[in-house]
Amino acid sequence: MKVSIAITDISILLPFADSVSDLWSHMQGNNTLDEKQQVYKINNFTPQKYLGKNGFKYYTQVTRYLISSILPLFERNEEFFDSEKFGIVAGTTHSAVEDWGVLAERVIEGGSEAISPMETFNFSMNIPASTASIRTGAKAFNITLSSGSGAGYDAIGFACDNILLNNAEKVLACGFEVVGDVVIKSLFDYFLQFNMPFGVPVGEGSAVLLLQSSEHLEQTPLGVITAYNTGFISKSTSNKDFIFSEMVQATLNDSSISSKDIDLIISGNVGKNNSESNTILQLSNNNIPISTFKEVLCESFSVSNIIHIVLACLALEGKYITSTLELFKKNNEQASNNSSIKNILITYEGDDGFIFSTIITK
Amino acid sequence: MTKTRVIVSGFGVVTPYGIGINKFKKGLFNNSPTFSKFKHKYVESCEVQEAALVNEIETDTTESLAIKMALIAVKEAVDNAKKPLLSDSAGVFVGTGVGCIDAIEELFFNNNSLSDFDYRFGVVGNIANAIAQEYGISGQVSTFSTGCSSGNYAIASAMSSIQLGKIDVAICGGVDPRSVIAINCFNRLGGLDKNGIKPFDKNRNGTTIAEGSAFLVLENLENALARNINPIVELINYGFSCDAYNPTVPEPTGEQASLSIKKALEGIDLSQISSIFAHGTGTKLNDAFEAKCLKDVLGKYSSNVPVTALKSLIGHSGGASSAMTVCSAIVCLTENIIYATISTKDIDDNIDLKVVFKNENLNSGYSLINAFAFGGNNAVLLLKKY
Repeated sequence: MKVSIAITDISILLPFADSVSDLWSHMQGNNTLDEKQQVYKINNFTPQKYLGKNGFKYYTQVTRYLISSILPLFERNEEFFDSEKFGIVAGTTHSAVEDWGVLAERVIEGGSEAISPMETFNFSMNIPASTASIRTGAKAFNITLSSGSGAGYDAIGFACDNILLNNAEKVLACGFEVVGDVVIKSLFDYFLQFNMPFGVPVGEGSAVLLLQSSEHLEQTPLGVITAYNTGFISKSTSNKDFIFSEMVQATLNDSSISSKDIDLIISGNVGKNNSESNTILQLSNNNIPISTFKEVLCESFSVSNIIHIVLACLALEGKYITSTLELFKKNNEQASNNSSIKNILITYEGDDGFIFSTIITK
Repeated sequence: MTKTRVIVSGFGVVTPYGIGINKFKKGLFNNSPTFSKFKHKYVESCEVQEAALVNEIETDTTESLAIKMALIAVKEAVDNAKKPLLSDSAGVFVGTGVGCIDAIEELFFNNNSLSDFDYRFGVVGNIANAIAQEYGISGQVSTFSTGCSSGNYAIASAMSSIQLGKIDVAICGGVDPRSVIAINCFNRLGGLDKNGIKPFDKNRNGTTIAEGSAFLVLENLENALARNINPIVELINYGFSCDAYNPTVPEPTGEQASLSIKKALEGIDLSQISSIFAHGTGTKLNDAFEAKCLKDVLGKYSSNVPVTALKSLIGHSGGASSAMTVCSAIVCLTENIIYATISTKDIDDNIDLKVVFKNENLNSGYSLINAFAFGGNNAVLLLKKY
């Protein structure tokens, strides 16, 4: 189904940038990551900068991160929001595990009484999104999607679906992650086993897109989603490439364009030979430049998912860098760069089976 | 544009009554209580340790109880639906409040790491992924968390995906396992009744923690009829809304929760509502709030329509609770009986609802399934026997 969902604003909070212009500077700087540093955290995070002097004292770190990207965007657009038709959907891969770690420590130390009354609800994974709705007055819905590695993409899909279904007019589609002691401890075996379980260092932060139907826009959109599809590849499936390429083809068909109309492919790949890389290399046939980003921005799970779309919006302004990964080197040497980007194909395949593709147009 | 009709072709449960619909049905209509003590070193400090737990499933430290309960309920639902085609035109929609918290609690409280559990992708999405892996599903696979309304959100979203033409078949529902952290939090919050949950009762004083799973197979009607399936129940509509008010306290006017009920009832003659399956958490505030919302929306009908609360029998299973309530409603619709709210003896004077004290015959009509969660997350479903 062809759709027309406009991206009208963006807000980000990453270890390297808290604005889109800073993000672009970082990308241009060709700042490769230090692979010895397996985790990139947001250092010197000062919640007051984003949340004001009051009102965040009892927020957990995941909530602080999420609200720190939502609030600036909300304040910029407040006049356009109708509370009843405004929803929030937040994707998160690791969700509340850090909060659960804090609560478990309390219980071990002093039992139930050691939990502060203001912490009692933090076991519920939806508290960050609920807090966001309280701060912004979003009343259509507030939902957390914790759909594995593609939770942020799933949030985008949910936002688009519910705009199409008229359950909301404007939706904040978000991703948020905190990589603290619990996530690091949980991943530790994998770090030992694989050195880097994701191929690149792990990061944290939050990112938000403001999505709405492209009819009756108050602002010029940064990009328009014209088709989107998600799917899943089981470990036991023998036809993985077929499933991925079928999803991408369905996305092209939904968008009423062919592969010849694609000016740029932005991939979530980190240099791994898989169904995604096979599909996009075949689709490109050495003609379409391929851009990747995690080698300079980390694997931040749901946040990376949202950043993927942010980078597409930058590319529509002619701001993109082609991938330096060996896997795409030959393709990118032969494909000619184009400063006038109109149609971008975004693709993703997670090791857990989550797959996604979308078309972003000017 | 005519909406695609969506039906339930199969359902399955794991509840404190045990595994499967038959035990669930027997427990509901025999009005059997299920509460026992949650035995765990780190629950001992809680004033209230009563819970409704699933005792039939054994797990060791290499498995997640949440995943196991989900897979068992899904298998029953899929078998019950006479094995629908589950491939690229099928999706998985899981609602959960705390996901595989049992897996990470092993790490916290026992320093055990589950050997078959891949932490890289979080501890929540693994449930839906396990279902998709089991059935080779290659459509949408999503995990919803909106606290205690998660199950209804997952079912409603599955319905939406079918109506948008993205899939033909959905496995959807909810699951939540026992959680040491959650019971400690509820205990600290003062949200547990030491004498057991009594929804809408004058002497209600809180809820009772529970666990379990409940899953449905949804299909578009054409798809089901083409397979010669006799649909059990039709999913008519749903309503979402959010209070945007407080993390734990419902917004006092009930405006938004009422709106979610109104949305679910859009275009329906109120006289045709034959049963209400309440959220009924047994807390002072929530039950009064729910009764007010029902009164505000249904007017004179609110005091005539039978209302029951599943949690009185099997406790509050968090993100699974609304999906379990849907399954209980399906059982009632197929048997034409509505089960009693067993622990409630003396209705609160301020609650003007016809709470069912003993099993009653159920007339044909629409059934409303309420779910109102932490964070003011409201999700209401409307069902009808096909």
